Amino acid sequence: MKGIKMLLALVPVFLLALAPLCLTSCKDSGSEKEAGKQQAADIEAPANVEEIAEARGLSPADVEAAVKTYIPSGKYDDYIMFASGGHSGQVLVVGVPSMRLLKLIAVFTPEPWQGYATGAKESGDLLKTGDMPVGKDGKLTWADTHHPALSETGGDYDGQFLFINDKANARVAVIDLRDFETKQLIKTPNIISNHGSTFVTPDTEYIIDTSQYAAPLPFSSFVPMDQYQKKYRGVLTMHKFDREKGRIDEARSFQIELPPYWQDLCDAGKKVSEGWLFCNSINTELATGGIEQGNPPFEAGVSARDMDYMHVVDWKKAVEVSEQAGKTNLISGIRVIPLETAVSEGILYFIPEPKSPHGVDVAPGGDYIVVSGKLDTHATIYGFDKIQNAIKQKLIEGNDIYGVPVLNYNDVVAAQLEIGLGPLHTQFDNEGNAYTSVFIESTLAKWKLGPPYNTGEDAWTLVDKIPVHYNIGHTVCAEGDTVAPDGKYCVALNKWSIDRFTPVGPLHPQNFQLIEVTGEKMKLLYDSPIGVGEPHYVQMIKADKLKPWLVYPEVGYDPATMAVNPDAAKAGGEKIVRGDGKVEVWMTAIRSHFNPEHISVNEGDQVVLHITSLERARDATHGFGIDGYNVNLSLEPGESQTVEFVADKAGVYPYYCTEFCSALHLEMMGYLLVEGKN
Amino acid sequence: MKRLIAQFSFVLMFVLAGAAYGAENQETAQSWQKQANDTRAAVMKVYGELEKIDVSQEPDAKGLIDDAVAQLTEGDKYLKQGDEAMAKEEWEKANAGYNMAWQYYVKAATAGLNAKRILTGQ
Repeated sequence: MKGIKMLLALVPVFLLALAPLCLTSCKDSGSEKEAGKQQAADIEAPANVEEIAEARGLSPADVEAAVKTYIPSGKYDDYIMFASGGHSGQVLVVGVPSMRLLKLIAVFTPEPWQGYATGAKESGDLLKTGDMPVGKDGKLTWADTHHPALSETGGDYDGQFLFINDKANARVAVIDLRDFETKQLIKTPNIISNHGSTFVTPDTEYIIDTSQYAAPLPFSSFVPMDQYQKKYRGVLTMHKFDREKGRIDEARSFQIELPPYWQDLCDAGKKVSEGWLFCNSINTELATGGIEQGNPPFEAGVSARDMDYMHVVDWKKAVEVSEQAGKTNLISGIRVIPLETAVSEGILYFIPEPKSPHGVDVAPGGDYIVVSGKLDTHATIYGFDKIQNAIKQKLIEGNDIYGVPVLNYNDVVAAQLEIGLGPLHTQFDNEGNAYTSVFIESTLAKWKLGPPYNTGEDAWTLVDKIPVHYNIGHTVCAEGDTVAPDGKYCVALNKWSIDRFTPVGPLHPQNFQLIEVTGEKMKLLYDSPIGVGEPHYVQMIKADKLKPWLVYPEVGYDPATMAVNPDAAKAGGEKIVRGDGKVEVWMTAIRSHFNPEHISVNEGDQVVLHITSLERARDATHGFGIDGYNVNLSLEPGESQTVEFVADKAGVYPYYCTEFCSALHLEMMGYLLVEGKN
Repeated sequence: MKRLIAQFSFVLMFVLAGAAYGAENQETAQSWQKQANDTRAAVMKVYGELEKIDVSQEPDAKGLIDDAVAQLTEGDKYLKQGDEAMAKEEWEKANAGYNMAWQYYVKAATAGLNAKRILTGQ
């Protein structure tokens, strides 16, 4: 307890020291304006804090961690994480350092609270655009969100857009960070699974998207497995992003045919390496499995070779080639650069990389590419200048079986560093350090980059490791994959939590562990259970870079078009129009009534509801649910939504506000009266 | 105990680092054989020590050790297949057996190291 006493004694001093800093630097962060003008300098640690710590069995390190992560009511987090929601098909929005879950963003799956594809025509239509109307139920009902990517300007996060992929079905989504809503879903043509997706080029000109499990080109054509080498292919897709429209421009997107090596992860070059991109591959063995036939299972077959191939792609040249007549094939409506053209035009090169690589991460200056092989103990660091020199000097060790030139490994490696058992992914800070997740031994490793980041004897050395709990996959550090990382925090994205949380049945939550990285030694600050899916990867952005709307700019706004819907209901313009077999209703919602409150239709009528929230107050959200008709909308202030359905069930069906909006919320309802044919 | 576990990690690191594969021939089969046996020896060394600890009050660690044993046992089955194939100079089959044995031993290592984390905090 002596340590706690000392620490608590220092709390007022700590706060006093911070006060002037906060009073100057917190003004723009939103902290002060929302904090009730609380003056940090006036705070004194209550005398009973020591007793509380003692009663709860908290160590000095626990108390320190609590002080560093606690965000008082009304104050805001410094950083926002966008985490993939894994199987939920959603994106999680989490504050740092509090680790509070702020929101789920519906992306690939229906989500009732946001009224996403649960009755609203706009989001229902959106979800259909990325659908594949085949398989069980004739539609997709889940997704496997993996890698979110924030839009960048000059290689730095700009806080405007977020992209994310659905590995299970090779889909890509665009989320607008003005309202944190999904705007576009693309089914990537020709491929059926994408893992190396999404990553952006430094000015978000393109969204990078690579296939993982190789398939015929296109995947929908049947080819037996014994023709794997000849007919199966990988594909790199460059989705052209139109920032002004906030949409992927499919007509200007293109693909590059690749060998069926199971492309894994990618990263775009930046600064000195801008114009290039780098992707891993894990199955240069061309293993095809078949354990049931006595063949080596994939896990053995795919890891048989010492080396796989990092793909080095000159994407700016690829853009030029994709626009030249006769250089592409049109497959499934998209231009595809054939593999032989990619080789002959100098678009694609291979570099050997240690076995079963996973992470490929470009350092902030774009000068190094860090690769970690999950069955190797090293991080292998390639120098971009060495790669360029090898390409120019044609320092190749030969060609792979598809004719792709393979650069000499020793000519392009800048360093190799012993990291530990099972290194995976690397992020960076603002002091020339790199942080690599280490799966098998469950640690986060901190190491020093070489010149120009570090020029002393400690360059390329491992400097610290911290245990994590357990089986870390990705890690994220504050803006840690940009040209200007922040340092301060990293988060270990642990796949297993085992004993970290109160048991809640056999299905355990994942564990996000917040780690402070400001000092020489990393410190574990907080465990945060994530119980909605496997949150595969995360982006962490400074909160003040985000400029979200608090309400929609005008009444009648349609989030799908980000403009006022000309068909939106207006105040005073509420009406019911009856046609032949169709009833169209213009309805408004405001605390605490809908107008109209009675809608009478005949069984079999097509019903169209245009509903507008007239609210202008922040957080005055209404819902609109119809009992028995499987409809629920979220009507945020100013928002307009449309519902279309056939009144195929006779009877009386209340509709009501599904958000507790006001004192008379329960009274905010109406009746849909469906008169039967008989 | 902690020292032994640390040694285990150290040894295992070099064992994993030393993996060498290639064409499925005698040389690579022998390399795989060594890789699998070395990894097994490293796992067994720490398991022998973990066995001496009363983990009855640590059900999570016990569960992980049980898991490690199960992975080890499965690996041993493949190791035996590898040895049998090796004796018959069936190099491809030997490769497959040793490769799979090693895959299971890596899983045993993962579980064992997690048990270590619970028991020692490191």
